Order: sequence, then structure tokens, then C-alpha cells
Amino acid sequence: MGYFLGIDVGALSTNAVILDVRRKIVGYSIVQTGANSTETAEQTLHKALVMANIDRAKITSTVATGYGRISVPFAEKKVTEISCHALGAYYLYPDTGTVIDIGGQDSKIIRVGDGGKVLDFTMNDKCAAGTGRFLEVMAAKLRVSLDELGDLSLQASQDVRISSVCTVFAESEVVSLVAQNHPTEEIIRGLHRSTVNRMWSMVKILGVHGAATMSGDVAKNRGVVSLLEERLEQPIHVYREPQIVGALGAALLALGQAQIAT
Amino acid sequence: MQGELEASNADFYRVVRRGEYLSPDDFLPLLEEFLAAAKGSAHGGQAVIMSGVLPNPKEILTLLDELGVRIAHDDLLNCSRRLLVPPSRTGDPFDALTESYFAMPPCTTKDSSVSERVDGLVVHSARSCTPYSVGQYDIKRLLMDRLGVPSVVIEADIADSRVFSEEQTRTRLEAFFEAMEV
Repeated sequence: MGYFLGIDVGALSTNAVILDVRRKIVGYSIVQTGANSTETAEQTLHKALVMANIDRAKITSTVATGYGRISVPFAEKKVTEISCHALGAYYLYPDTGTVIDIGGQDSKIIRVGDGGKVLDFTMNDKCAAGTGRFLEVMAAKLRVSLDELGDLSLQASQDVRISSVCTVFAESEVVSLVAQNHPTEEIIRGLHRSTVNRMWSMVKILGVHGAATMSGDVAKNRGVVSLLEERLEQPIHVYREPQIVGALGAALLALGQAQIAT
Repeated sequence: MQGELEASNADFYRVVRRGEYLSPDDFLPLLEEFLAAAKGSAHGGQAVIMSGVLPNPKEILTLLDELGVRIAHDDLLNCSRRLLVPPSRTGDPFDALTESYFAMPPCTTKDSSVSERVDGLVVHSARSCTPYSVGQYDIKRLLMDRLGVPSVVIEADIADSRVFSEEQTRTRLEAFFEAMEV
């Protein structure tokens, strides 16, 4: 029956997952979204095909998701990332009741029911507060790489208070804190807490149901995850490649669609 | 009249809004013309109640049209709720409000619950009208908890078009209707 492709064209990264007919992940890829979504989608697909070691012709069905979902000409169907993250998270951790997705330019909380069905969701798609972009701006200001943020914040013995969740105002606060010679680790921890506070205000709207699963690039940041776990008072599932959860959900839909068709 | 109009959501509310600034002499003939032209049967897509303030920009209505969703009823403060009989100014304001609701023109959907009438609720949260928008997330939660009716909040404004982001709103609405389909 071939293979099934899910492709998630996000604001910062484009991710692809290829599943075989037994729903096993045989290939995936993560590529920075360039200036042209269609070209990036092609590159992402190519990398995933190389990993899976299969020809493009073997792909039976494709579902696209993410903000750039309309720019994937080879997808037969386009589905929002909300449905896809819910399905992907449910597939990885069937006890998932709540998905917390912090993406590059927006963040969302999804309440998930049986079979990965979306019961409700809330999202911040208005500003960069509590998104990957917020942390990216702050990392640049503090001259550390995005990947280092998590480990550095875990070394802090206390955090300084960042009162603003707004990216622009928080950046000004960071400038002042740097001027006052506060240790970088403590500032980073304060920034993580600010992100978590923003997420918490969204979590409260829907409540936490069942196990929580985090997706999106920021889930790789252990500092953010541990503060969020503290706030939720429960552990959070994080897949080793949290960025591909949406693409995985899309691939599962592609497989489901092909099975209905036959 | 319910289910007897073939008009799109955008066209329907465009006509309704004319009543806000035209004199009755000018408005009524236009309304009659519209009713005659739009006579037909409503398409069978998902039906929702729209709550809040009539959204401006109208792109929200166009988005719903593109998704094949029909506004079957509204609880918009500048549309249906204008039909309310002014509450009496004495006594308990909540009693007066209840009285007003019951004194409204007879509704063909009376005696049927929200969950029987529509598939869900689209709530427009108008940013510049904070006192009005307070409690909308509570309404959303209560509708789900008590009636099992899903709802989605979209954010725009009645005056400031910068508050509205079309693609983000499209994603919220699409996701909402995808979840209702499964």
C-alpha cells in the first residue's frame, strides 16, 4: 500500500514524517522554513525520503498542515495544525488529554479526547509572548545559542523577575538586568518563567485533563519544561523530536484517508 | 423565515447593517428587495450561533462562507439583541433582563435547546469593548461543561482593523469545524 507523508510548514521550521502501512515512522526531517514555503516543503520531503530510503513514487497519500499548508502543491488534503498536533500526541502517548504546543510564532493548548479527537483549544496567535520567537529574541540579546538556554537556566539557583510577557518590553528589561550585572543564567530562568506564566494563563482557560504532552521546538528546552511541570504539578511527555508531532498527525491522517479510499 | 434564505452570511449582515444608518423609508424597500432576491433554501452546512458584536471587518463572515458554515441565529448586540424590549427600569435588573428575553418576538426555535438548534457557537471578542467581552471565556467553558456545545472565540474589533489577523482567524475557524466533523 506504500507510504504516507505528513508535512507541517510552520513559521520557523518545516517538518515531514513518513509512515509505513503499520504506522511506523520510517523517515522524518526538520528544515528551517526559507523564503519560499513550496521550495522548503520540497527540501523537507527530499530529506525524509533519503532517511526512509524510498522513492517519491512510493508515497501513496500526503496531508499538509501548518501555516504554509496551502503552499504544498503535492498534498491531497490540508488540515490545521490543531487537529494534527492532537493526533500526533495521542499516537505517541495515548494517555494524552492536554497538548501544549509552543511553536515558532504561536502557542496553543489543545484538549484531546479518545482517538486523538480535538475537544477544545485555545491559542495565542496574536503576539510573540510565550512563543519560540520570544526566546529566540532573548537568546540573541544575551549572546547565547537557542539550544543552550535550557541547560543554562537549570544552573541558576534563583531567577530574576521579568515582569513583562511582551517581547519588546521584556527585551528592554533584559537590557536593564544585563546593565545591573545579573548572572545570565538567572535572567534566562526569569525569561523561561515569563514564558511559562503566559502559557499558564492559557492552560487555565481549558484546565488540565489527563496527561500533558508538549510539542514544538520549545519542548526541547528543559528549563521551560521543568518550570511548566512545576506549575502543572505533573510530569509532561516530551517526544525526542517534539517538532515533528504535527507532521506525524498529518501523516496519520494521510494513512487514514488512504485506508478509507481502498 | 428560518432556513428560507439563500443569502451568504456576508450578504445577510451587509443588509442588516444598512438599517443602522438608513432611514426606514430608504431601508425598507431595500430590505424587501433583498428578501425577494434571496428567497430559496438555506444550504445544509454546519450551523452556528454568532455571539458578541457584529464583526467588522466583514472578512470573518466571508471566512465562514468559504468554510460552508451558516449563521443560523445570532446573539449579536447590534443585531438580534436590538429586538429586545427595553428592560423595565425598576426592580432587580436580572429580573428585568429575563422579562425582556421572554417578551421577545416569538421564536420558532423556542423550547428547543441550543444543542438541538446548532452545531456550535462562534464568539466574537471585540478588543476595544473590554467590559462587553468580559466573561466570554466563561460562557465558552460553561457551554461545553453543561450543554456539551462547542464554541470558538475569535478576536477582532468593531473599529480597529489592526486587531484582526485573517490567516490566524482562518486557522481557528477551520480547526473548530474540523473538530466538529470527526
